[in-house]
Amino acid sequence: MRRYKILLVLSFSLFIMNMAPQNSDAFSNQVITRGAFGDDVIELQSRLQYIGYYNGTIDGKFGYGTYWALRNFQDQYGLPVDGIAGATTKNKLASVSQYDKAYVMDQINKGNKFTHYGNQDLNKQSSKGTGTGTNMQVPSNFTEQDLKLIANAVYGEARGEPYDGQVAVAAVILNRLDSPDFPNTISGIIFQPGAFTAVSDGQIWLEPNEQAKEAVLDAMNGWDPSENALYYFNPKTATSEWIWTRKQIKQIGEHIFCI
Amino acid sequence: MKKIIFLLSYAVVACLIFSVASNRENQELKYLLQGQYTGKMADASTQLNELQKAVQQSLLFNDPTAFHDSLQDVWRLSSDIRYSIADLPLEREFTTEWMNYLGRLGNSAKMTMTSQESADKWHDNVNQVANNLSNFSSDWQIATAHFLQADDNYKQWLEEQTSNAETSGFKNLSKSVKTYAESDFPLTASEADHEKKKELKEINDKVITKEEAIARFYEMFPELEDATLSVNQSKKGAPYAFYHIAFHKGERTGYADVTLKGGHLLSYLVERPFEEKTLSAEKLKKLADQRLKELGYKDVKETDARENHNVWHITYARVDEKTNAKVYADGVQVKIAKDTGEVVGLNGVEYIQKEKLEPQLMKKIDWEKFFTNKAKVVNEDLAYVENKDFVERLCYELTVRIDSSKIPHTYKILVDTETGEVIKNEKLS
Repeated sequence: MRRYKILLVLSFSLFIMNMAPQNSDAFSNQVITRGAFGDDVIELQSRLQYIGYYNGTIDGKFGYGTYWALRNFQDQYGLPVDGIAGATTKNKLASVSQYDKAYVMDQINKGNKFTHYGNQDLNKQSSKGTGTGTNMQVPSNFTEQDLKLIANAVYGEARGEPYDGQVAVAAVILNRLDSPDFPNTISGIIFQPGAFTAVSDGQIWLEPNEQAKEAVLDAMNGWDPSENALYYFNPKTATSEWIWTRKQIKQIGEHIFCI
Repeated sequence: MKKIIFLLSYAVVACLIFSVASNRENQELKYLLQGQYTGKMADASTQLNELQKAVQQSLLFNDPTAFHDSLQDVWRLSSDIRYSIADLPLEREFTTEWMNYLGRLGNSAKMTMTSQESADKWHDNVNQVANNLSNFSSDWQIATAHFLQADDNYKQWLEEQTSNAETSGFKNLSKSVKTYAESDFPLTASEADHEKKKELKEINDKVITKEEAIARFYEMFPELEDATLSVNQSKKGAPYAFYHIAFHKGERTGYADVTLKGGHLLSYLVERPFEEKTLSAEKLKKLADQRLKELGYKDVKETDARENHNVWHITYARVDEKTNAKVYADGVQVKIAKDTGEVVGLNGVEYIQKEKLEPQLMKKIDWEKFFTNKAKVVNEDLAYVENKDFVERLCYELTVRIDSSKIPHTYKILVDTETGEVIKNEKLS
């Protein structure tokens, strides 16, 4: 009788384990939704591309291209069509596709242009690209090129400043973009003769660090610690008399921000 | 001894050769730059003459095509001069004023072309614009004469022009252009309202003291109790007065700016190290919503969310009670840490002074006729957005997909509910 009880408990446990939703071995436990970023999205895009649903760039950014591809996949495989990669969708996808993580990550790290289709030789799917991107998701009204350029300016102008001071410098560049008094492109603003010291002394060409890029990302997302400033200057080093005639708003670190 | 003399002579000759070569290189670079600046200046002068003519010619025609062409010339040339000016090392005040004037002239021409402004308004205004441009053109020729003469004093002249010195020809020009801009293109009522919102002109709450600002800070961010604070009031030139509260607690440093009137939160930002672990997106969004409600943002709706290495940036817009439409101009932005769900940034400046929304007709639009057969409307909502005249308009907010290529493209298109005008057309990535 005791044996039967043990057998019954074991069988029931096995049944429960079988019935419970299983996480895919491949993906992490996270539910992947639009706006997500990272390795799970890289895998999602690669697997969708492997079976021909996704034709865009494998960049780890879950945008609309990935969203529509995922919905088509869910529709074809009789899954709830919501454009969200939960456990069921990930398991199904993992069972019908393959993912060569080493190949995909190697191409991304080298900044190559590549695809990951299942029925083609991998060696023929890769070609030299333009190098690595910023690995950051910028708001849709900006590009990665914008982020790089502003981060160069922020690093060249304010790398010794506190974080909010760096965000404020990036915000000044973006405030100029909205102002009719300045050029209407980011490159036009940064390279306007005499506008930024970092351009004049060549420091703009230094490789910016992650902090400068994060600061630009915050400014692009709306933060403006300068409170609408269009100019800033270091009172210890400023040589222009004109800059002292501007209306001052606040000081952050060594910089006075003004309009 | 002979050896030392030989080595010294050798070193002197080498230095001389190096110095001559460097000097020649610098001279070449100087000429190259001078050539480029002179070229840009000559372009700007030629374009200014053409602009003058185009403005005057726009007075000639009643014929719609000819009138339209002359307006197009004004728009194109004003834009071209802006580009030329932006590349020149001129006095900064002059550059900003002149670019502003050209932008307003070009906008006015474009709005007349697209019938957003009447032809009569253009004709009424253009005589004065033509006169002002003519006066400006004469002053411009005097101020820029040196630019076209590659004499030895070029460098000195350039320094004078860019140093805001009283001797600079541009100093007077910037004063006159400022006057022209105020007289030729005064701010419209909507532009003035737009400025008022940006400068929080309509907040009439009670002024709070520094102590009250600190109390407000702790009330909003109880987790920062016992933080070391440094509180400063904004400087006199700030468009709105505020307290800047810089804080430091353990690994956290950051700031919060609150308005002097009413203690409204302008923005808040924390810098701290992040751990590797990640909460789910769903959980983080719930935490952000909850935190917003605690801070008093109870009528907002998520409009966008983007994940990055350590944080999610989530944007919200206020929802109008009457129409249930999102008001993008009354937005709030949240930055939430992926490791713990702590709100490490909040930007509420746009939410403080709410937009005034006017009642608006809602006409039914047949999207099948409005779009080509390649476009498919996949979602329809309502939202208020600003049009080119800075007026908030109620719009159908459409998500539209085009499947014409291997990769589908998605657009957010905002169509005025009354006029059917496309106010915004944004490609979504």
